[in-house]
Amino acid sequence: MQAQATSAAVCPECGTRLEGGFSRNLGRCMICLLRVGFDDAEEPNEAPLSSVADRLGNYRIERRDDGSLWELGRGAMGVTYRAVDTSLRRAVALKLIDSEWVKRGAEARERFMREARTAASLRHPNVATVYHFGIREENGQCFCAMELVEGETLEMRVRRTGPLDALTTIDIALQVSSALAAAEKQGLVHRDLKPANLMLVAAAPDANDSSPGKAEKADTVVKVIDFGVAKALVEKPDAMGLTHGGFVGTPAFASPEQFTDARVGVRSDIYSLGATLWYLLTGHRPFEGATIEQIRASQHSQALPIEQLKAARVPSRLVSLLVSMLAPEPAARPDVRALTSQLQDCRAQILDRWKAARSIALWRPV
Amino acid sequence: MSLQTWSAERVYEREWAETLLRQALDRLAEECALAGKDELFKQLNSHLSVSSEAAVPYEEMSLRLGRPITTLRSDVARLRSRYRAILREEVGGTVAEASEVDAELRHLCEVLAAD
Repeated sequence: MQAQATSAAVCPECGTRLEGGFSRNLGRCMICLLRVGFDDAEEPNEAPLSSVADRLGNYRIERRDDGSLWELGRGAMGVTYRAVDTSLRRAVALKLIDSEWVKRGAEARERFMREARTAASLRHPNVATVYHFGIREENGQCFCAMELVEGETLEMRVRRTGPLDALTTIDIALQVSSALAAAEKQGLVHRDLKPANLMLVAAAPDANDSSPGKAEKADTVVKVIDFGVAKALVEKPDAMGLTHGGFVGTPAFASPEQFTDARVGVRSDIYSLGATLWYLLTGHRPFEGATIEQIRASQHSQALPIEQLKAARVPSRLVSLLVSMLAPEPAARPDVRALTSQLQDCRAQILDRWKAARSIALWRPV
Repeated sequence: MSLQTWSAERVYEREWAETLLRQALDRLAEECALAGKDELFKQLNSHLSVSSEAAVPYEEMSLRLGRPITTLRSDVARLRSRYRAILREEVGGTVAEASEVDAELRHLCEVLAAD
């Protein structure tokens, strides 16, 4: 599905939905207008930023005890820092996007802001809220301020503890599916779903829960980060093609259509989610390769290494679901509704088996 | 949150912020009109908010107004600077000390952000 702007009026600055006649008439939210009043508000003509300055408009990048900038993560699209929104005194994750936007002209900047506004209007408990996108005209520096999610990525979790069990993986998948359903309603596609873009957040454990994986489930509230960032950076509206400004995303988790000019939609995110679940269950990516070309070739010519799932004792129903999510043709993949339903079926089956095994154990003579 | 579920205090704070902004913007528009720059104000006021990337591109305004981009950037900087001064004056008139202006602005932002 192609991203569409929502029909509701939103602030062009921060993406907030404009409530009330005053804001709608102005076409901007009151917070953005109030922020200009701060003594330390940024002047648009001030000196250009150096490669990384610790201040960007209302955002100040925090420093560690040793004086270095507080880096949270680093990826193909840029570096993310821990920062403070000085006007709201709110901690944020500030991604500085390393791109050549200033050379791409006004059309590219407008497209970036259009996609950014759509991303900023998405509000969901399993999505890290995007507060603000911006481009510094002086040097083309794109940036994105997001909800600061304190936790670890699923990539870090798997590296730290090894693959996850099936029930935990399904719980994670259900939360991401819920986020994808909300995004789909707004015409949003993530385009870079992967373990490193899924954060685990601490949550209170359920005292009444005695099911397997309880310890894992106590902290398996998932937040999808970077929603809309990849889309906002795509050179062409419907493509991340190799011939158009370079691939934006992560090849090992990208769907086949993302390597071409074919239309990218929610089923592309479902493919990436399938590859992500595969990694969570096995610690491996379904298609490995050192280059984009090798991964593309593997997707087209190699069968899925199902034996990895069998070795990890993944239930057959979940194996079938993963295979369907990773179908080369988007139409052969489940939509979000079907995916959610099948994940719930898989979950119920695992719990039923666990209950049956437990009752047998209880009746076993001592 | 819908308007129906806002508390009376929240509605008051929101209306208060709206009044301050309306007064500041009206004053700025009047000053520009007195200086014979009302058309410039109409074109540039989309650049009043914090960053300029969301506003009408300078290239487009330059063609529309027949002014060089560098001049337009200076115009925007002056307009923002004057708007900031007026807004701070308006807020300053409602607090006991000038040093409380930032705190009051922050409070209003926080109230609006909580909606």
